[in-house]
Amino acid sequence: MRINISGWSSRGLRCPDVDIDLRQADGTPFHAAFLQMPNGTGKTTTLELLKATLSGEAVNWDDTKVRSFLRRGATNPSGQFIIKLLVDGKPLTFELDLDFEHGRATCATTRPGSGGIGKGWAPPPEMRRFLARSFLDLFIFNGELANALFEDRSSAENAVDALCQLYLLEEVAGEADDRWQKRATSVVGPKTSGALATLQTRRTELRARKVALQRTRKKAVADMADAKAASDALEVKINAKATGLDRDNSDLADARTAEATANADVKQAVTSLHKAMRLPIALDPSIGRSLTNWKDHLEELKLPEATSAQFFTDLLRKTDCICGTPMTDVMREQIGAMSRHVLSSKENGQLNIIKTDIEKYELTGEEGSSHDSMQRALATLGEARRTQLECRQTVRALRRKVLDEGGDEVKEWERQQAALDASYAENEALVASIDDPGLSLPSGVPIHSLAKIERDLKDLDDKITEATDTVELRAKTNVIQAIVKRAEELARRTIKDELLKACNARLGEILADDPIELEAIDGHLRLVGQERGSEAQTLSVGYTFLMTLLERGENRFPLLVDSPVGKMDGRVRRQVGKLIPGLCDQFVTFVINTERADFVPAVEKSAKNTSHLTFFRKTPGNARLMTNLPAGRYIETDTGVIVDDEGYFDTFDMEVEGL
Amino acid sequence: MSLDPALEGAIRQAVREQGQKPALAEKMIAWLEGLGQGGMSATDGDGFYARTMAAVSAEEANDAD
Repeated sequence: MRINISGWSSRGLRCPDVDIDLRQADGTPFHAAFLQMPNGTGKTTTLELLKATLSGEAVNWDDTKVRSFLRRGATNPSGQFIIKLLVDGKPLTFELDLDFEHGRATCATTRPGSGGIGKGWAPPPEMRRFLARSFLDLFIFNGELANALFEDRSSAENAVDALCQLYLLEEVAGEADDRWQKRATSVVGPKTSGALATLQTRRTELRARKVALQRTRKKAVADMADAKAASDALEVKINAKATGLDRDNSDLADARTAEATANADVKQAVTSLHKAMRLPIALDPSIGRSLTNWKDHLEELKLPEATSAQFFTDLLRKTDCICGTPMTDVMREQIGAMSRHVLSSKENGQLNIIKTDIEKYELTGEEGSSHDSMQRALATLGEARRTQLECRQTVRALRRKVLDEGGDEVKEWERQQAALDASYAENEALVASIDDPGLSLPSGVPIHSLAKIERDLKDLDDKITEATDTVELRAKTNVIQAIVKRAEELARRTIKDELLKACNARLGEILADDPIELEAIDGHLRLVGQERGSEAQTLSVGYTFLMTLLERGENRFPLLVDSPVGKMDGRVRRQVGKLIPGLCDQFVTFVINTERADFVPAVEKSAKNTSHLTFFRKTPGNARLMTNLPAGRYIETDTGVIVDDEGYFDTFDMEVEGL
Repeated sequence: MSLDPALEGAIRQAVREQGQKPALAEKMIAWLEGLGQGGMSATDGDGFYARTMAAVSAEEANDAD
């Protein structure tokens, strides 16, 4: 990101009214702009307004603070400070309005490319971190900055973070974490690897259970077949043994035929009863009576008007009624009047259907006929069941007789056959439990239902898939965060080491006569062997640190400095002045006439282009400054004069300062 | 806008130390560069995030977890 200051203006404030334009004719800012302002012109006020407007903190000022910006003795109700920026070449303006009557400060932001004028302080989101007060203090400052770099335990570190873009790592880590949190809150299932492992263990157990049950079923079916075959074989042997007892055998065959017929009759009777039971009114006569009673209480039969009105309209035009009687005027009048009573809304159509349905069942016979029909089916079933039991008893008795007459060998076969039949029944029950849908099984008991296991497996698979994705995302997010953390450590260490070397090399040149060396950049700057240097040394170290940092950073910021040289001697001024333009895109500085020497010429030599503005307050004491203003090169307001002229700048107030 | 060389180098080293493939470092660097340029849309952000997460080796991630 490249941020430049296009200019600023103030109206009705403590500092004189002025429009400062730092742009060249083509709209780009001057590489170096000198703003010569004698003491008392409002340098400190301007610096404070610049920072408060850029950071947006002015809106939090209380009424006393707001009113402190009103010029002494003035009565204007409001004042305004506007700062114009270029952000990557696009204009961005912050406007601060001070309401002295109510003691309020308000901001407005203008972004022509995206939304025009907006209420409040609203810079682009990606720019906000560079407009934080702590960050602005690094690039809009006076001689106090150097002290901050030595004293504020995080100032140097913050500068490294911002200019070397280490903050981007935090943004990546934050973004990854935000997305994980969003995912975690939207997922109801397990989110940890432990919970996922539990699910996987359960799935493994269920799969093993499924395989075991499938094997069990297969074996049970085979055992059933074997048992049946063996039982049938024994039956053949028993029957063969009984061949000598022709009469008994013949009776048994007849009895078995009768049993089969009885079985078929029972089946038929059950089917008939099921059919009869499907009619609710067959179950109990009271159901039919209740339905009829309800129907009788419904509104009288009506016709839906939307579909039936035309019928009456047409009928009234006929010569004969639908009953065949010739239509008279009296009949027409009566039919017209009555039609209004029988026509109704479409909802009546549904009621009509219900009523008709009830009547349909009422009309199938006399009251209670359905119930009687069901009762008859029930009696038939009872009779069939009794016959079936008798047939079974007969078969059993005849078979017993045949077996008893067959001797011990047949009895042994019978015992074996009984065992085989029991085994068959046991396996049959086992297969039935395995094939059961298992819809309402008690919990905590082993599952035999394959269908239930299949359902549980599918449910587990779904949960595991979701949990796997979630757990994997957590793990991946952890990896990203670990990389970010480690990269931040590594990058900060490398950058600090490189900065330290570069700073010390540069300090060796700048302060050759008064050497000083940086020991560490550890949150703040630390010197080798001494806690603090002289004021000039401290300022030089501060400049050197910022310059070196600016040189390697990808983001570009303007450097706006009040009183840039402090107590530096001429040589150091020249050294610092020579280096500054090479290290920033835009250098703006507030100077007084005594700071011009050595520093300004050194900056001019290195800068691509320069602007020389002189600004002073209009007071009786400054009347002498108005005498030699260059024609056409100055703008005069009610409270001040700004002169855009290099010659005037270079000679401004020389006689007063005794130069 | 390119990143500070020290930052790029640090990401590559950190990715290596985590046992991840170099492709992840490239995805992260691209994401950081995108953020550094500013004006990133939500769609751009989704894309950088998805590409970065896809480049994380799940096996190594689970081991780390």
